[in-house]
Formats: sequence, structure tokens, C-alpha cells
Amino acid sequence: MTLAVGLCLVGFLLYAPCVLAVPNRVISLVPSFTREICELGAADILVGVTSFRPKCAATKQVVGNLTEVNIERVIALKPDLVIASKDSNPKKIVMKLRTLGVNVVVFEKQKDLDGILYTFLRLGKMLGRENRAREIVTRVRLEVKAISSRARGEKSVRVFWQLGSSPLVTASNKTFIGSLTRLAGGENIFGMLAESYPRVNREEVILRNPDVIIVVKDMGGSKRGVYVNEWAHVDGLNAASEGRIYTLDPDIVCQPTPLRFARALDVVSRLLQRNVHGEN
Amino acid sequence: MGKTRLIPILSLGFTLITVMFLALLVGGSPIPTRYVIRSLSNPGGSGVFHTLIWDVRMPRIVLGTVVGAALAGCGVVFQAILRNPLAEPYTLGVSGGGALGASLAIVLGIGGLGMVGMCFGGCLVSVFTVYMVASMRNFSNTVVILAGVVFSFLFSSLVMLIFSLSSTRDVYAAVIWLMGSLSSADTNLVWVISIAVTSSLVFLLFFARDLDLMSLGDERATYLGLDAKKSKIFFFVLASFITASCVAVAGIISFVGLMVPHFVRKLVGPSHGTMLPCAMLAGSSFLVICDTISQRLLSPVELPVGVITGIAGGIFFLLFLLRRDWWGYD
Amino acid sequence: MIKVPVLKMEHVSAGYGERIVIKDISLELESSELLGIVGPNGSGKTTLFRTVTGLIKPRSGRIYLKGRDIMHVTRRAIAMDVSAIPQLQNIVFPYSVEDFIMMGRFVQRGRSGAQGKTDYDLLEHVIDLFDLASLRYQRISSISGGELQRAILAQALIKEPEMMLLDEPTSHLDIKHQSSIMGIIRDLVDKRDVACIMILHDLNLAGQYCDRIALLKDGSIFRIGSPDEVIREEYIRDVYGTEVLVRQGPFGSRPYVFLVPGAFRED
Repeated sequence: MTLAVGLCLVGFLLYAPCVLAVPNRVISLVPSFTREICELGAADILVGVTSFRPKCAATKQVVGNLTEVNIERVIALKPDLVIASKDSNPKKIVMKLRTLGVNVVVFEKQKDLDGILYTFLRLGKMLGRENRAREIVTRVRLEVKAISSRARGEKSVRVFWQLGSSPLVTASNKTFIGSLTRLAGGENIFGMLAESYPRVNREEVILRNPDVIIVVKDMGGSKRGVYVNEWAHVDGLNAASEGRIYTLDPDIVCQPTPLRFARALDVVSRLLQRNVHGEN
Repeated sequence: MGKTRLIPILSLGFTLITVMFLALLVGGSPIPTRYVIRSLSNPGGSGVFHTLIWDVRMPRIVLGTVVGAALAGCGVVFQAILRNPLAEPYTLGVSGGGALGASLAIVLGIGGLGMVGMCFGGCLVSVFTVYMVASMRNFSNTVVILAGVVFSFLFSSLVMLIFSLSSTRDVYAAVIWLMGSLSSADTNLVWVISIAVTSSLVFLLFFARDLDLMSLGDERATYLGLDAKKSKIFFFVLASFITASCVAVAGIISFVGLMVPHFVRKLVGPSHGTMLPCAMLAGSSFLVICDTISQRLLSPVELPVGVITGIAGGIFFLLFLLRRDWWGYD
Repeated sequence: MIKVPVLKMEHVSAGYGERIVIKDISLELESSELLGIVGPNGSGKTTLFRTVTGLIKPRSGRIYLKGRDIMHVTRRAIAMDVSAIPQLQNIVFPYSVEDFIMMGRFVQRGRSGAQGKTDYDLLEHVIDLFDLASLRYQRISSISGGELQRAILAQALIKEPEMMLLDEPTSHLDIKHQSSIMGIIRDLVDKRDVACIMILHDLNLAGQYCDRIALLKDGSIFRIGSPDEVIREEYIRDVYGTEVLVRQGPFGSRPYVFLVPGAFRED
């Protein structure tokens, strides 16, 4: 017992400096965390990012992309904290950086809104921006509550998300898109699938007859708004007969941060609850 | 001799028709058979099932039939002109070029027909480079095969280069696309490619005897009255065009072009007058079956059809390695 | 009427790329004549073969086939009159013997012509001639070397050529099959007036069966004439660089070459 307490104490003393001191040279290996750091107002302590950095970090040095990180460049930047995530960065890179004595914090996979908010709070605490983080989280919770209450009582809308056309790719409920749909009062027609981003069959889409189809433009080689609207001509499809096939900019549903999640939810709920808002 | 030739062709043709009809009934989603029959017997009808059968299921089966025949047919051609039973439609680096074109299109944000065009263009660029290198060495088979291998590597390295400079989203889209799929959103494209490829394949059938001669080697073919170099270029270009069209519309579907010719050769003998049409028919049946399996195995999730053909192909390769004598080569 | 020779070569030189292999070759070949080509390795025998068959273009000089310059004759037209059998090489795909022989009729049948009665009769004829009846449905990959060589000869003969060229038709064959193949070829020349050029390694086979022999050295004809004019000790010594004895063989005046053990000279 005493031994255990002693070990804990030693451990605490050893790790205390990293936990207690606020870092001032941070490298983010995940684009969405980079954005969150900006939202926390901590862009000034950010020294390195990965490619496809958000605008707020446009002047920061790029140390690699998601799969490849230039270790030498990371070391040269002398970071006191490197932020990575389990679902974005290969384990190999994290191990390598750790053996070189770099302080790497790896975040768990975030599956839903709670996950995003929890991660955000942790990040705020870590960067000494806890108050701002709490403030944003409270605001986002309120907004989300307000939006999802709008949907309450309405008949659930059946939604098909198209993330790629050839082959046809959708998102299950294990993704942000899944939680967005649920909170906006929709029912994802492929929500129950085990995979996060499954390839699905065209025939099944027609058979499941969604009320709304949302095509995320950038996926599957169709940037610049060029995409084949194959569903518009499907005879007898609810979404087609009611003209409820929408396209969505990928920036809205990708790289979610608490603030972006709230915004995305607003957009999606407006698409789904057409009757509430009286828009088309 | 004429009759013995017709029997395998007719029976494989009959098999194909049966397979296509069954595929129409089974399809990619469970629809009661009577609805399928009703939609089929009433081409002018309307409704969800009607659209589903005529605009989704039918084009997909047609595309599977055409691509299967094309890959198997081109496999036969490349194996004969290169005198190599392990050659296949992608031996000359067509797939590498196609992959390069498609990934470029995805990264540059070109979608729809533009992407099909880029992919087709990529295929032709790779074939052209291989062709240029081969022409400098008088189209010797070794040089043609080596050039194909080299350019495949070169192009896949370029694809990797593009991937490493692109966003995860683009890479994901490109990788998924390359896995191959007969599910095309653009029905008109399916019809255009089908007509073009089918007519090329029918044209190819008239040259079965040339393939017999070419498979004996350039020198022997020349002495038997064929201009071997011209023939080789002709087959090379025609088969590459057909393959490129298939890659552009359906991605890369492995093993069909390699293994169907082997099975058919075992079945009806290597004489191309019989073997070429048989291989085309068998390739069609095989791909349509594989595609139906890929749709229904984990329905509603779809597997890349290349996974199914690849697994079948892998098993075949083991057989080939273990029982080589059985296949009639030594 | 002046008889036109089946083949006439005038000062022909040819080779691959920059390298000239045969130099200034002139010869004539009448129908029903069997010409043997002998010479050491690398003396240009196979290149001469490929030049006569039109596979490689002569660098200079002219080749006339039945009086026509082969530079102005199509591939098909050459194949109509000439059957050429290159050295035995692996046939990758296991065709049936019958299908394989029928490929010889490509020039006459064309791409899509059906199997006519002539084709059939000729097929039966060559199958008889080469004693292939029991093998006709077998795979070419499953028959022996001697049987394969017979099938190849049958394929060459089924188009009824006026001239035949053979590159080492007896290599890989045992003496029984050597004798049978050479006998068949001799018969074709004698009974059907086929003109024949045959590349041979074996000076004795050449001496036994050929009407005339051309001895090549470094791409040129060193001597050409009847066997006893060409196969002589001093010529063999000059061309091959080895000591031999030449004696009259047991059949007529044909010469026979004996190797002398230990007589190899390093030049």
C-alpha cells in the first residue's frame, strides 16, 4: 500500500513538469486539432502542423502529412508537446518520436459529439486555455440542444449520405455524420452498418427509399461541384419526387471541431427539417 | 471439325445467357422474383422496381458481361502474341497508366466523364511509352514484357508520389476507385463503352488464325505467311484500346484476363478459332458471377469485385504452381 | 523456253543492325535440287536462311524467287511458294497435331476461309506421308522430339511449296529419325520437284543426301559444288581449323569425314 502510494508519488513528480507547465512550442499532427488549437486562441504557441493546414495556421511550418512525418524537422522545432490521434497517425511515428524523447500526447478516436467535446476540454486544459474551452463547450452544448429540440416531435426523416459516387460510399452511425443525422432528427438509412464508411449497393439505396439524399461534393473525384445527379431521375424515389437531393460542401462535415460541429448540425437540420423552416 | 468447334461455343453461350438471367433475378438486393419478372416483361413500365431493374441492375450486368469478355479476350491476345501463358491485359502497364490518370483526375478535382477520359488517356500514355521502347528493340517479347513491368513500376511510383502530396480524402477516393467496380453512376457511359468494346471484340474474332500463328513465334509466323511485326503491333494496339476502355469505366479488375484463358485452353484446347470466343463467353460469365457475389455476400455492403476475382485467381495460381503438368505446359 | 531458277541470289550481303554477317553471296537453285549449307558456328548459315526467306532484308544485292525480286513481293506471296522451318524451338501452347499442321494452310485459307475439301485431302495426305495418323488428336506438347519434327515438316508441306528451307532439321533426333527425315526430304525433292535448301551441321549427312553443298566461311561462300568437290580435307582444315580425314563412303562416290583424335589446332 505504502509502496503503491510511493510509486504514484514518484510517478507524479517525474511527470509533473510536463503536466503542470503550459507548453509553448506545440506541434499538431492532426488537421482538426490544429483548427481546435486556433479556436482556443492558442495559435501563437503552435510551431508545426501537417499539410492541409487550416487558414489560421497558414504560416506555420509543415512537418509532414498524416501518414508521413519528417522526424528530423519535428526535432529541429524543439517542441515541448506533440499532439497526435489514434485514428489519424500511424503508431510507428508516435513510437519513434517517443524514443527520441519527444513528449507526444495521443488522443483517442472520437466517435460522437461527446468525444469531440471531451477531447476539446482536455486539449484546452493541456494548453492552459481551460476557461476558453469550457466557454466554447457550454455554448456548443446549448446550440446543439436548441437545434435538436427543433427536430423533436417531427417525423423522423430517412437520409442517405453519398460520400462517393463510383463506387458508392456512405457513412454509418459510427461517424460524425451519423451523430449529425441523429441530432438533426434524421435516420441514416445505412446507420446500422459495422463499417464507418462502407461501400453500398445502388439497388439497396433505391429499395430503402430515402426521403433526403445528401451528396458531399468533394468525395470520390468530384470537386468543383461536378457530380452526376443520378438519383434525380429515379422514378418513385421519395427524395427525387420531392426534390430533396442536396449537395454539401465537404468542409462542413469534415475535420469537426466543437464549433464546426454546431455549424454542421445547423446546416443539416435545416436540410432535414424543411417544413420547420419553410425553405427548400 | 466445324461441329466440334460449335459445341463448346454454344454451350458457353448458353451458360452466359443463364448466368445473366440469374444475375438479373438475384441482383444486388433482395427483390421478389415476381417483381423482377413483371418489370422485365414490361419494358415501358414505371415505378421503383422498374427503375431498379432497368436502370441499375441491367446496365451493371451488361457492363460485367462486356468487361469480362474484354479482359479474357485481351488476356488471350497478350498470351498468344507474347508467347507467355502468364501474360494478361495489364502486362503492358495499362493499369499503371490508368491509375495515374485517375489519381491525377481525383487530385485535380476532375470528376465524371473527365475522369474517365483522364484514365483512358493515362492508359494510352503508358501503352505508347511501352510501344516506343519496344519498337526500338524490334518488338522482341522480352523487351515488351520488361518494358511493361518497368513502366508499371514507374507509374505506380508516380501514383504514390501523388498520394503522398494529396489529402487523405483524395487518396481514399483514388484507392477505392482503383479497386474496380462495375457499379457506374453514368448509364450512358456504360452503353457507349459497351458498344465500342463489343464491336472491337467481334472484330478481334476474325483474327483468331493470326493468333495461332503468332503464338508459334515471330519467325515461324512470318514463314507461314503473316507479317509478324505488323500483326504484333495491330494486336498490341487493339487489345490495349479495349483494356484501356475497361479500366476507364470499371477500374482494375485483376485475374480475369489471366485465369479465364487458362481454364478455357484446358477445356477446348489452344486453337484460337474456338478458344478466343469461348474465353470471351467464359470471362463474361465469370465476371458477372463474381460481381453478383460481391454485391450479395455482405449485402448491403458491397465488396470490390476485384477482391472476389482475386481470391479465385489466387487459388488458381496455387493450382497452376502445384500441378503445372496438368495444364499442358512444361 | 528458258528455265527460270527457283532461287537466284546476286551478290547478297545482309546482317543485323550495324553488323554485316553474310557478304557477297551468289548462288542459284533449280527445282528438284537439294542444296546443303555447311560451315562452322557463326559462319552465317542461319543469317543466310533468314535472308532467303525474306525475314531480314539484304543490305545489298538481289534475291529472285521464281524470277521475281523478293523486295517487291508480299509476305503472303513468298509464303505461297516457300516453306521454311527454323530451328526447333519450344511451342508454348499445346495445340493438337492436326490443328498445328493445318496452320500451314493459312496463306491459302486466309483469315476466315472455311476448311475446304482441298485442305482436308492435303491434311490426310501429309498425315499419311509422315505417319502421324495415331498422333493427330494428341497435344503437340505430349509428343516426342522426332514426332514433333515430323509434325513441323507436315505443316511445312501442307501448303505444297515449290521451295523448302530447313535449318538443322535433324538436330535433337536419334539416327533412326535422322535417316527417316532425310529420306522423306530426298523423296520430296526427287518426286515432287521441290527445291530445297538445308542447313546441316553434320558434314556426313550433307555428303550423303545433298546434290550440292555450299561451304560457308566468315559469311562468304568458300566453296560450292557437288559433295566430292567441297568436302575435301584441305577445305575442311581451312574453314573449320581442324584436321580430318576424308574417305570415300560405302555408297557410291560420296565422301565421308573422319575426325582425327588429338588433331585440334589452336589458330
